[in-house]
Amino acid sequence: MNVEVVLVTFSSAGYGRVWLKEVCPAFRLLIDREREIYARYKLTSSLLRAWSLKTVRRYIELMRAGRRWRGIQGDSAQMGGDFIIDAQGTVRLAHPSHDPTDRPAVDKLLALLRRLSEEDES
Amino acid sequence: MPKKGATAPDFTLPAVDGSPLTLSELRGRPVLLIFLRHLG
Repeated sequence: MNVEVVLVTFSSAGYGRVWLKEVCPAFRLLIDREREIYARYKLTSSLLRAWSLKTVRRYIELMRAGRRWRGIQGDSAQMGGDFIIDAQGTVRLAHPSHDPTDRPAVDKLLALLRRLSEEDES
Repeated sequence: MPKKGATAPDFTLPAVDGSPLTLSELRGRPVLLIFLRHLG
């Protein structure tokens, strides 16, 4: 698939470099320390939603499955979000997370990216 | 929030190596844009 993957974080560039090397060196990681772009994309912040029982349960499941706990770097209340933008710059999927467990299904993301990639090639 | 069907709000941010990247420079191929919570 001919797709760009761009990650945005509000962590420091130094920590970001270490994290990227360890987790996904092929991706681009951008730094938004002041969270101006998070705000522009209307991504919310909520301590209650960030640490709900549902979230804690999910973290326990991940650790039981072998995922390493790396601690919290920065504001744990900040929510993330997933967006797919087509080759013309149009938003084709917008999924701001309501809570940390609220992410689009990987299959859904891959199917849309595959379709957009094929459209561009034809 | 940027709605489906709208033009994605453009921005320029530095990458971890300090080089700036502007979203609109990536036009021509689909982009998966992920805003992370915290790096953990």
